[in-house]
Amino acid sequence: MERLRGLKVIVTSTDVHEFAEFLLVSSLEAVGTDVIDFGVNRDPEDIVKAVVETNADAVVVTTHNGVARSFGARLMSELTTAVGSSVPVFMGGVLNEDIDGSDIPVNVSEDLNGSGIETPGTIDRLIDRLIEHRERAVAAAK
Amino acid sequence: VSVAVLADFGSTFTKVALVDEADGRLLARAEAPTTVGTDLMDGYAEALKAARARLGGGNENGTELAASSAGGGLRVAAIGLVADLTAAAARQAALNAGARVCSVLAGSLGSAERDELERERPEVVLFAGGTDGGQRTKVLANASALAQCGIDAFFVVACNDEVADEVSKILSCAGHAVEIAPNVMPALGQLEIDGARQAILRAFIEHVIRGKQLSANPRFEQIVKMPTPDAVLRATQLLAKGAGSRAGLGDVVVVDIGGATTDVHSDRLLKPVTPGIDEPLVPVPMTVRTVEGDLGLRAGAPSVVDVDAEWLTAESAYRNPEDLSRAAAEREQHPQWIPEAEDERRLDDLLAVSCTAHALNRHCGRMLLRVEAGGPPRMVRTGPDLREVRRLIGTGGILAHNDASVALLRRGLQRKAPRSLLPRDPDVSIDRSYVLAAAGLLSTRNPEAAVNLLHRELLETDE
Repeated sequence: MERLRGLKVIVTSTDVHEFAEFLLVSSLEAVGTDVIDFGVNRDPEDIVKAVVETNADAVVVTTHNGVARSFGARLMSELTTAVGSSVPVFMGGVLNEDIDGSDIPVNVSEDLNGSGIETPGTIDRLIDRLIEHRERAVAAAK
Repeated sequence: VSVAVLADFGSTFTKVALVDEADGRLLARAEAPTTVGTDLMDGYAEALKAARARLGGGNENGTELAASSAGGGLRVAAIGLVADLTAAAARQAALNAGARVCSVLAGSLGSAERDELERERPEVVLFAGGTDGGQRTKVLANASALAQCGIDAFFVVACNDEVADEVSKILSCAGHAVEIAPNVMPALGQLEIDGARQAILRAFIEHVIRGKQLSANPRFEQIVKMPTPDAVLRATQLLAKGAGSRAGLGDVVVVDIGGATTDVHSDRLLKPVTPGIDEPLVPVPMTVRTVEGDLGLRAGAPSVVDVDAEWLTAESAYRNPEDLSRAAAEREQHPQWIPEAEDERRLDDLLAVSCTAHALNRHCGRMLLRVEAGGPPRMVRTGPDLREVRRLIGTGGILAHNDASVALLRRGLQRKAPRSLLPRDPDVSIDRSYVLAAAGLLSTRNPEAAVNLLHRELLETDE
């Protein structure tokens, strides 16, 4: 897909679930992005370091270990300090966490969206959102 | 017999070995004090004359090769963008080139970093930053910041390949000598330090050695081929991998205890596969050199006492920490001093045990359990896993001239830090004939002869 050719996307996971990360890497490579496979089990701080060195255009994080909200908050805070707010961040997987007062982990998608993280829900919608970001960046550059 | 003259200009002694260039037999060796105050070739001539006298004269037209750590060795500053990514990769490239890394700088560089470089006066600056096709803006900004630095250093540019030419132009327009090398970290998780290492070695031979003005004799610049630690690292690799008909030994570690520093060199053949254990962000190379600037027997003695006071007071005749500090200060003030009294010799031995223990524990990785808020515990390995190392070699004056040196190294090994990946039960050899640097030099001409030299002098004389 020419519209995503050369877009540098870091793909990583908050936990050991390699399959979800592999699925994202394969799908994003198939649509022409320049995938930077950062492996699994990464900290927010490590992801930000990777963004600085690679000058990535976007970050895609998959999570299945019930830390989505706190991980996302740390990631956005560190990322904004290091490179500003120009790099879109997407999270998917199981977006839940134990919140004070909850008996079971609850969905935290709204919290993530509030902190600026996009939660497209499917890989198809993720690709659509990447295209939109690409087109907006190209238009801004003109 | 074609005789190779293999010399090591050390900070205190110049060692000369005469070796049969074809089969690596050590024919004679001698040493003389290094003559930094006058002309380095004076000490070399004296050591060479003594070695030739032991051989019975003649053989005056053989190959001459030398390594040098005289005049402070090779001082390198490592620059990167992120401390534990490109800056760490640059630091390891410099260490593996045999350098003393005087500064490691990361992030957005400005006047504070320029001041640090002007204070440390590196002879080579290894400039890294960005993966290939990655970060441009910050790398170029760092180059512009460094261009104004008032240092007379050679720059090796090993950054994002897309901006390497531009970085080189910025630095050379400001009057700096520059060579472009392959990126030390072309992609995340990929360490490619050999190209930068080679460029640093070229800078050492073509610029640094001349700039030190250690000798008025042009022969000096012609025979010096590498910094001494690089020669030792080459010998470590040769022992591990073998050459020609000589098989390698497998994983090897060398501990080099000096007056100011303790170096550890290791070479591993196989990377252990341990699923579920997180590795450092920058992969650990199979060949690693580390330098501990606070662990040494003379200039480094006070800092060894700082690091290990409790153990040293418990083990030595100096039960009072103030007396121990005074004894260390004496050693710092008199770097050539060789103790005669039993208590002082014993303290030197204990300092050597301290240097071995701490340098090895820092060189080897640890297996740690990391727990962070909101996440599950994770196993993390911080550096090389050397538990299966089969051979540990000790070198340096304290070990070469000491009957108990094998026991000293074993005692250092026993002081394993919790969860450290130290060698478990290696065979131990001592470099009594100072052949490690000589073999590293000879390997540039005849690797098989160099391995023969190492086997004969280190392994066939097992203690």
